[in-house]
Parts: sequence; C-alpha cells; structure tokens
Amino acid sequence: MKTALWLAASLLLCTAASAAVPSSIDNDDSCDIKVGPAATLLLPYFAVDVSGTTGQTTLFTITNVSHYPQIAHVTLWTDGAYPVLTFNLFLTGYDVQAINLADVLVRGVVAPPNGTASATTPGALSTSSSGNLRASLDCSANPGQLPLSIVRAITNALTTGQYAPDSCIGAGNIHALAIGYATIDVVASCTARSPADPAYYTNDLLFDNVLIADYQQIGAYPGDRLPGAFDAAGNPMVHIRAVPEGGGAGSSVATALPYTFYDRYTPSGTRTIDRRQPLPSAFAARFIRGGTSAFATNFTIWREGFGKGSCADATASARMPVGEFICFDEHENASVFDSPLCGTCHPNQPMLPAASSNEESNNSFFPPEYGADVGGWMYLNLNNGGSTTYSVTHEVNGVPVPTNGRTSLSPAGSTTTVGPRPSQNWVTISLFGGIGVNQLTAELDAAPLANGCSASVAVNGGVAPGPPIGPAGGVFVCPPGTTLTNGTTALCTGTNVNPNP
Amino acid sequence: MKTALWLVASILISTAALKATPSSTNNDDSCDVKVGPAATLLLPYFEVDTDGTSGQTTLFTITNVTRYPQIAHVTLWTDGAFPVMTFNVFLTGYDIQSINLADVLIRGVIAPPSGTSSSTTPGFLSASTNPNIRSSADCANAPGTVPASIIASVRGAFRMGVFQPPGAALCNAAGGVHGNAIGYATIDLVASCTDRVPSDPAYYSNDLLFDNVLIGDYQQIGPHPAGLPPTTFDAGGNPMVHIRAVPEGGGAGSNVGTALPYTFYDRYTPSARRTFDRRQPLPATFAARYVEGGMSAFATNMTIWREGFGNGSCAAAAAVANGALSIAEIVLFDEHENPFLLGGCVIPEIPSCPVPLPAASSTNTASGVYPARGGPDVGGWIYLNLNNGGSSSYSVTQDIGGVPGPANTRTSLAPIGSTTTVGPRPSQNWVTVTMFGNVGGSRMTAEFDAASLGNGCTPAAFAAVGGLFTPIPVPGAPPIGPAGGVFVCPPNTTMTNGTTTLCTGTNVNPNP
Repeated sequence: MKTALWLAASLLLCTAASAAVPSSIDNDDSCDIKVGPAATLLLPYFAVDVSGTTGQTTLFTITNVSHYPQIAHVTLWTDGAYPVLTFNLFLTGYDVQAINLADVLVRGVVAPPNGTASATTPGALSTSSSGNLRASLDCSANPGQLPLSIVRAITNALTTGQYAPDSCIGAGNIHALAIGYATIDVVASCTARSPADPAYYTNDLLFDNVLIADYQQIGAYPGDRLPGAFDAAGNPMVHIRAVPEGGGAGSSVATALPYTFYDRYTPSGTRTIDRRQPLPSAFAARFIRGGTSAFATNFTIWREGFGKGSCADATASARMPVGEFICFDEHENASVFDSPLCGTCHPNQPMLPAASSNEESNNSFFPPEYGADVGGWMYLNLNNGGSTTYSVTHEVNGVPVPTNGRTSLSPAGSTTTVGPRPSQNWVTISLFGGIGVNQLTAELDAAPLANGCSASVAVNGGVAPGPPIGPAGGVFVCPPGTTLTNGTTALCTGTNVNPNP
Repeated sequence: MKTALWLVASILISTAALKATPSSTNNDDSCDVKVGPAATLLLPYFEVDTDGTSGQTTLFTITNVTRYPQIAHVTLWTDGAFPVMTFNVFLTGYDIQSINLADVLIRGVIAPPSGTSSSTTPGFLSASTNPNIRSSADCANAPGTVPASIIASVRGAFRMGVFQPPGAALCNAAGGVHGNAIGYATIDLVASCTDRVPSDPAYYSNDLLFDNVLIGDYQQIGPHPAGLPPTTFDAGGNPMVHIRAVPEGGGAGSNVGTALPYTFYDRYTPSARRTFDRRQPLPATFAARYVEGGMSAFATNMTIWREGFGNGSCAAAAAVANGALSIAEIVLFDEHENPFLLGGCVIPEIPSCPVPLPAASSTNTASGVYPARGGPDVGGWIYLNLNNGGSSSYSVTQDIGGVPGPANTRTSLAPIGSTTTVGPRPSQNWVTVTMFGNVGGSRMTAEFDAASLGNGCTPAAFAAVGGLFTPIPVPGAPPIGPAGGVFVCPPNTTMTNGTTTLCTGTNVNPNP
C-alpha cells in the first residue's frame, strides 16, 4: 500500500510541474470562491420543522446589488439531490428579499403576503428594465400562495423521500425535519424549469454576477440532540460566479474553468455552458467537544450527487462514500476510523447524502478523537469517488472536447476511482456551547484546502509518510531564484499555479 | 461639476478597455480574498471587558494545516492602528491553538497554562523541522506569562489610548477611549520567535515568511447591539480574514516580484521594496445586509476594520487621524429599494457626509453612523464605500505607466474625481455583519462577512449618490454595483434582447 501511495504522490508532483503554464491569462478566471456578487447562490443545507412545533426553520435573503432588475430562480432539492420545487423572485434594482422556508413548506406561501412580481415600483436609484430579461417575463404569475396538495407532496419528499407527482420513492432520506438544499440562479424569465433540465441552460440561465445572499438557521442545535433554547446561526451562502461573466440567455461562451458547478446537468454538447465555478473537495474544519461548557460541533456538508437528477440518481446520491476523514486533536494526534495506528489505511467507509448536518462526535460519520482534548480539527476529503456522468472539458491533453474518462484532475491512485475529476462539496461548521442557561451558537465556513480546479488527492491513511495532508499545490513553494530560509531547495516541491487539466 | 464627472467616467471606460491584457499570466495572482490557507490572518476587531464583569471577550484559534512546524506571530493593535503587543505561537505540524484575549489582557497569560514553545512533541503525522524556520528560533523563551506591569500598560492602550510600558516613551494618542479593550490583531507566518512588529521595516527583511499554511477563526463572546448594554451571554463567530502571499514561498527575506499592485502591509514595508510582504490587499466597497426594529427587536452591528494612515508611529497626527478616518459614502436601501443618505450635507450632487470611524469599530446600524430609514421596513442593505480618501504614504508598485517602480501619486487605481483624493489608491477595509434578535426570552446572534463589491485591485469608486432632499444618482458617475460594472458581454455575445448598448462592464480584474 505504501508503494501505491508513493506512486500517487509522484503523479501528483508531475501534475503540478506540468501545470507551470496556466491556460488562461484572464485574472478573473479563478476557481477560488469568495463572498462577492455572483450568478448562482448555494444554500448548502436547510432544515425546517414542518410540524411547526419547535420553530426550526431556515431563512435566506437575496440582494440584487445592481441597479437593473433581476430574476432569482430558486430550486429546492432533497438531500438526494432531487429537485422538488422551483419559484422565482423578481428583484427590482437594489432589491432585497427574505424567504422563510417555513412560510413555503408549512404555510405554502412564497414571500408573503403576495409573492414578488415584476409590477413592483423600483426605487429612486433603480432602473426599470434590463436588456437581459425577456420581453415576456411571465413574472406577473409568480405564485404567492402554493396549492396545498403541492406543498404536501414537497414536504413528503423532503421528510420521507417520496415524491408522488413523479412517483419517485427514494428521492431523499427519511427524517422528521424537511431537509435539503437550495440553489438560486440569475435567469432571464420566470421559468418553471429546474437546473436538472438541459433546456434550462439554453433558454433561461443568465451569467451576470449581481446577487449576494446569506442565511440563518433558526433553532440550530447539536446534531443528535433535542432542540434546546431558540438560537440562530448565520452565514453567507456559497457565492458561485460565472466565469467569464455576461452575455444573454443561451450564450455559449468558452470558459477557462475545467468543469462547472452544474456539470452533470448541462447539455451533452456544451458541458460548461453554465460557466459556474466548481467547488472543492478537501476541507479543514475546526471542532470543539465536551468540557465544562458542553461544547459540540456540527459539520454541515453539501455534496455533489451522481447522475442527472433522475429518481434513481437521487437514491444513489442519498448515500455517497467519502474519500477520507482524519481527526486531529489539540496535541496533533491523528485518528482515522480503525485506530490511530491504522495500517490498512482503509477506514470504515462512512456514507453521507447530498445535504447533511451531523455532530462531529457521531462516529458513524467522523473518526473518534484520540484523547480527551476539547477541540481539534478534522481533515475532510469529501470526494465521492467520481462518476462517468462528470466531465472535464477544458484542454484535456490539449484536446478541448468533453471527456468523461480519467484526466489529470483524477490521477491514478487518487480518491477519484471513476471519471475525470473529484466531486464538488462545501462544508460549514456550527459551534455550540452552554454557559449557564444560555446557548452559544456560531456558524462559519470551513477552509477549503483546494479549489474546484485542484486534482483529487490520494488517501493519507493516517500513517506517515503517505501523501501529506495540506494545502493544494503542496508546501514548500520556492519562487524562481529563491531558497528556503536555511538556504536549501530540496523541499521546494510545491507550486503557486492552480492546476488546470 | 457635471462635465468633470463625465470626464471621469470616460477615463474609467478607457481604463477598462486598456485592461484587456492583464499583467500576469499566473492564475494564482488573484486579489480575491477567500477562506483558505494563508500567510497572514486578520482578526478585524476584538473587544474584551478587562474588568471581567460581563464576560465579554474575543477568542481566536489558529490552525497549521501542514505537517511542518510553523510560527504564528500575533500583533495586537489599538483602534488607532498602533501596535502595542506581540507574541508568538509555536505550532507543530497540524497543530491548533486557541487564544482567549481575556487570558492575555486580564490574566496576563498567553495560551495557559504555560504558553507555546518549540519543545512540544509533534504528532505522528507531523515533521519535526521546517527549513524555513531559523535554527535559532528563540521560541523556548516564548512567554506564557506576561509581567503585570506590561499588561496594565497594554490595557491602558486599548481602553484609554495611553501606552507607557515600563522604561519606554509615553504614547498618549494610541487609540480611542472606551470601557472595553478594543482593537484588532494580525497573525503572520514568521521564521523565528521575533519581537518585532509589522510596523518595523526590518520585520519584512528578517522575519516574515510567505507560506500559505494557516487558517483561523474567532468568536466574539457576549456581543450585543452597539450602544446598548450586554444582556445574555451569546456568541458570534466567523473566519478571520485569510490573506494569502502571492506568489507563495521562499525563505525569510526573499525579495520576489508580485503581480499585486500593492500589498496589505504597504505602508509599513521598506521604502524601496513596498510589496515585499506579497500579501493580498483588501477592498474598499461592500454590500452589507441589516435588520432593524420590528417585533423581534432586530438590530445589526457593522464591524469594520480600516487601514490607517502613516507608518505606525505614535506621532499625534497619525494616531488622531486613525481614530477618525473619513468615509467616502454610505447609502442605505430599505426593502423597497428606497435609498437613504445621511443628513447634514447641503451641496447638491455631493454625496452624504458619513461620520468618521477608527481603524477598528463595531457600530449599530441604528446609530448616527448610518442613514436613518424613512419607512417601516425592518431590513435592507447598506452600500459602504469605506475609502478614507487615500494617502501619499500609500503606494502602488506594479506597472504604473509601464514603470515598475514605487509611486505615491495618482495612478489608475485612483482615477481623477474618484473618492481617492490623495495618493495612488483607495484604502483597505473589511466588514462583518452581526445580526441580533429576540424570540421570547432567547436571543439570536449571527455574524458573517459582508460581500465585497470589488477587491484590492479595484480602482477607487466614485461618489454615486447625491441630492439635497431626495437621493439621486450623481450625473455621470458609475452606479453602485459590482466592480467592473454590469452588463458584461463576452466577445461575440449580445444581451438577451440582442443589443450591446449596455455592455460596458469588464471581466478583467483591473491592474494599475
């Protein structure tokens, strides 16, 4: 096994070296995700008590930071990545719109009292029209009130995984709360299509980076326990930019991105037509646990599913393998599932769906902590192993055509065993503690160790000297003409260049 | 005035056109700041009740995500951007270290019970040495306990703006006066357990390292709407600002070119090598959501870090100026897109007159710092152009008129008519939003980053909104919106309606 791992490490180094000349000279061609105006927003997880007894719900708010009107197209997906509801929010220039998912899923109302419509009078600094919106918007029919039968079908899908309108059993997992995730895209008209429909990309999707958003999880609590006091955690949504930005609906523009966020749903001949930045697969996430303050931590994880959004795909996406988790305590002791001294390097394989929030101490999903420390951090390689429904389009071996076979984003020996690239993921951390009768709740993004342009990493296995855990590109980096502080260059094996396939 | 502004707009458009060929071909040369391994971490604001009665404090945690040992050099600055204390945190490979600033500022203990030192036994996945750390790291002497006399002086600086450590000169204008200890912190990767501060030019040629290997987050314990007394004991938390070295790497003292036009530590770096630190610069314009009032007693704090003036000395002018840095423009939008400005300005077409803020502050959106809402809405968003007007102590180094030398004069990052009136660029800033509310007897607290509308490579924005009684767009000024403008039309595309008239935006991050 050690030999295989070294081989993988060597391949990674070769990949880094061959990426010395990036394929694009446009500084905006970045796979890095920041909080700034974007064309797609990802709410990575929502949890709503549809019984209405605890008040648990997810609020999100979308802001249009441009003076032109925009349409935000919201899609709710199950935790099996099955789309069950879309609705549109018409935003006048500089508009802000909050959505309480309990309004939608309990009361059947979108943006009460009357929804959003294009008839809204814009503010003094706002422009009344946009050349990117279709002349026939169809937004006057935006529903404020959803039919009760539809709301019931949706809540069933989000709580039991059964979606009657499509006769889909297995659309998601079974849980008391309505659990899933949401995507919000800027579009050209009040369409009813979902992102799982290829026609969405040729007709509806726009490419202007103009939306920002945040969310609050009301009644957040440690994963396996009962809700306690009524607190809230909040965070920005994931801001996914179109690269390059712009053009009208249906524009087919080349991108330097190797693949895109909506990759598996896009038309087969134009796989990167959405131009959305891809998301990374490896993260570092801090946790606190136990102690006199009863610390606890939830890892809330969004994961790219398999397939193209069919009911069968959802069943597969509701339980997906992960690449590797390693837990470090405050004394840098590392643990994987089998034991801290695991020699086989193949831990018990946890399975996680497309959207989940679990307590860090739940050893069904995360390795146990080695000692009695009240904190540490978790290395999360969330790659699901890959899929032949994933693509890499940009300059694979110099051939700019789609491929679903192995590429330099999925080196042999890496945790991508099928297909051309790792899967996409996002992680947030919710920290909890009790001081007296009060709750401490804080939610924040975990730190990606790479971005969506980074190659799959190999399993470390918790045994040195496997491929080391660390930032993508490796350490140490030595720019031309420099050495390390001690005057040597032997360890200068890292690179500054984001790898492209 | 109108003619001048049209001229400015034309210059901007020309500038955008000239930027079609960026100056770098390295994809890692980005001014975008993300959460990810970095060489410098910025804790944009801390607040500690040094009386110890309310429990208010700031915790922060640093993680080394590499297997090599690293040294994190922490500097605590006043809200006047005056450095008053440094200490080092030795991190073995994959180490994590939390710091409670109440431990430091009340009890005089760093990382209790005994501090951090290089004698710690590394974990079994960790390497024992780092060739970028000097052989004489001097970390065995990293203090666990700080003498009480020094801590008393440090507290004085953060609460009263008066700093006089034993045997040193008095600085009586180091920061503002407030009941709690308030300031900000920087955490840099360094090569030894130095006691130099980032305002010392020798820090860059001797100590600073360039490896993007640290991540960090913080929790503010006991936050509350500014101006109101603390009630129950809640917490807000957020990642620190992760500032990468671009390009990464090289040993201490490495002098490497960067595609960044200027850097985070610009005003402190050696005069001949202003981008020596290679740290990403921070933006000036933000969009920040707020909630205010209503049945749930919503409230929002804007917590703002701002680049100051000068080189960190205690010269009265610098300290006083950094305690009241001017703000270019604040526009508040309610949920019906109605814009509101601050009152007190009497010249049409000149925007509002924001209240100055120091280098680190946390203010309630219901205070006079922000425009008052004119309607019953309980929320909306605020446009913040936090540019302090610029300074000739700021520099822009990269490709100025084709001359790659330092410049402290106007550049394309400071177009004529923009909100930079002095020097080559806008000032750097960071904003987080903390929302509060009550449901029954329980409190809600949520803290997160505001969205930046540009990045540190973006030219200074223009004043966008004016009007004596009714806000109106400043004629000719680019409207409030994402840097680069909307709409963008890639080559050979049109907008959905088939036109290109409004295609005035650009995809390219502007470089000077």
